[in-house]
Amino acid sequence: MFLTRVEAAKTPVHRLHPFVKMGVGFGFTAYALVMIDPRSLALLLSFFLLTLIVARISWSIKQWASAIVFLGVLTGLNFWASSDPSHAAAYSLRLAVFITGIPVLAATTAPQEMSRALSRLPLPPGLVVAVVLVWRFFPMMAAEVREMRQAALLRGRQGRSRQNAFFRGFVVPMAFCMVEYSDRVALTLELRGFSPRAARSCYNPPTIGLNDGLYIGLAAITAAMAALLQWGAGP
Amino acid sequence: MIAVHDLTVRYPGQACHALSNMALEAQPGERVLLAGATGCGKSTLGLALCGAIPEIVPARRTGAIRICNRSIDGRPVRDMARDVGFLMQNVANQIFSDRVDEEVAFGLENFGTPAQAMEDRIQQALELVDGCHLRGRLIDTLSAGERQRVALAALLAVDPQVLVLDEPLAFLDSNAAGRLLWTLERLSRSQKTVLVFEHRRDMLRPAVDREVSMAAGYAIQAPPPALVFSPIVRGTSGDPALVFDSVDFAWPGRAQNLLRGISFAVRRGESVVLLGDNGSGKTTILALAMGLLRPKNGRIQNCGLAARKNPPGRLAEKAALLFQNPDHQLHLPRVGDEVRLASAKPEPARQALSSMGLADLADRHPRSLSMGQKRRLTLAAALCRQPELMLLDEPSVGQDDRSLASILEQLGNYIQAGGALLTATHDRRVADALSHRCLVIKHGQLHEAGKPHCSLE
Repeated sequence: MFLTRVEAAKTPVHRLHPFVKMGVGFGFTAYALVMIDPRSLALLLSFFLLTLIVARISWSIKQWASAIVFLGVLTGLNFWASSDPSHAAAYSLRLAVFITGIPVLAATTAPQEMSRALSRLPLPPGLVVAVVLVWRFFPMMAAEVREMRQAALLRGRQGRSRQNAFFRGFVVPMAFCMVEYSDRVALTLELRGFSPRAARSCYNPPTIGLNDGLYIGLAAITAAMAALLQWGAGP
Repeated sequence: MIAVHDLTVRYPGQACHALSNMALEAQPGERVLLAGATGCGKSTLGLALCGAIPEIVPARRTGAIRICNRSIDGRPVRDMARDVGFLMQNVANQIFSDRVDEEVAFGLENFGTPAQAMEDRIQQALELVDGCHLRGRLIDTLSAGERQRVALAALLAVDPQVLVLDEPLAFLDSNAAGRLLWTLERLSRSQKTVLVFEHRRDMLRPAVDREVSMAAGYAIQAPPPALVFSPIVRGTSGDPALVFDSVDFAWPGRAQNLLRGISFAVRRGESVVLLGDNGSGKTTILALAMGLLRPKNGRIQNCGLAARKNPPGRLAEKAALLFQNPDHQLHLPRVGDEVRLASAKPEPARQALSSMGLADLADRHPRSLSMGQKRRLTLAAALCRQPELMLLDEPSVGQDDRSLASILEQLGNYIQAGGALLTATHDRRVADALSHRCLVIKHGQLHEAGKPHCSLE
């Protein structure tokens, strides 16, 4: 798995309202697009990294090293093309802001939390559950792929070409899995009483709390400081 | 509560009826056990009772079904779900949420239950299945048995009048199975009708009011006597085929070890059974043995090869592991190809298929088989390869008495020929028949139980 998921007690970041995380994530990503000062971008990046640390989402040393090497190479290429160190650093930092912003929402928000947040909006129930199903599809497929890989490891090559082994051991089962998934979802959703036309209630709906206010406040201060670094105190 | 008359179901493109003139009645509070050979139409009956046939699953249905004194004709499946809760054979199919509480709440949300009433109903449902300790857990971290309990709790939370349970004991440990039997009794007292499809009749018989046997789509009232499985004979004891020496294991990111100081050996000509509660680490031991997982400490020797130093493919040349879910171990377009690839000559392949009752299915695609048939096919293919060591994970799931007898007979021959066998199971019949020795995992440590204690787990 790319990131370590926290199962035990949820961190303050996990408890934030999904829309707050989404708003700050999208907001900072858009903000990073207009920023050109590396210091401002570094500040936005620090905010996301701090959020991930509080959320106890960690990268392994190997992942850190890969990210640093990748961004280093990108900076080097940019510098080679533009001969402007500030420009090169800004591009790499902007990309780093985009990359670190994604798990702030994705790795700290369960599909059900997102669907509960969406259910407070005047959206059709079918759309809300569709979000859950799409969100659930990827981890489920990841588990299937893990089993396929284990089966393939135990089978070895058995005298077949690598392409044949890949086709028979991965492509075909994957296609079956996807078709079966859609079939069984259609069946089991109805067996569990779901109807796209019927109104649903919501267990433990998320509410905006003090935590969210604090997070928005910190994000606003960070954004203001970034603006200050970019454009200075006045015109 | 349930009244089925002249029920006939035929799937498109199939020559035979899946159910033929089936008749069945069950009263409020009655617990009925439906047993029958694999493929006799039990799951089809379940799908018909909850209205999924023909509404969602395409098939031609004739005859009458009445649930709670109402005909199911014209009732949407969603509406039927209020009256009939259907626990499927593979519970992974009916789980939608990430966490246990949310999964139990999913059905309640669908029926618009007020949020303030949900908490109590979630708690009560989890208490019924002895699953309160699972609250807040991620579903992905649960064992198969724990998932089954959560899926059952999710059905119970909706409070349907009829419950149809398709092989509910399949992955349950002895404690959870005992709890399920107690749950059935409680449901019966509250006038719920429970229909259980299960091959392990011996376990369920004390907890049901009536037993009905099905054969090829018909309900036969007098069930045949259960087969008694004789213990397999020990082969000539030889060198250890599998050695675990002080093995510790922890999942990445977890501080606590799942397994601590595990040491045991399985010799050639010997069959060892691995017992333990759901989530105790039985499957993990099998994966460690094949090098699919790395131990934190300790040494594992598989057929003379160090598991840490050799890739799983190399270990698999000498040993075979049969997964709990056989789907991904079958990868060829025909059933016959799976065994032919494993066997050097065609005759042993034909015999292997025949001995597992699969000879007539040789030209079918493996994916079209039932779960029990797939499991027998993976076993036939593994036996054809004549491995020195076989590791089996819940081999009896989905097997009727006759199929299980075939499996045990083949495994007996394998042991007699000098093979070594390690089987992880919750099934007492398998444990009693296969165990020359029993090992029990409790709180991460392994205890030698000896043969007489196998059933007690």
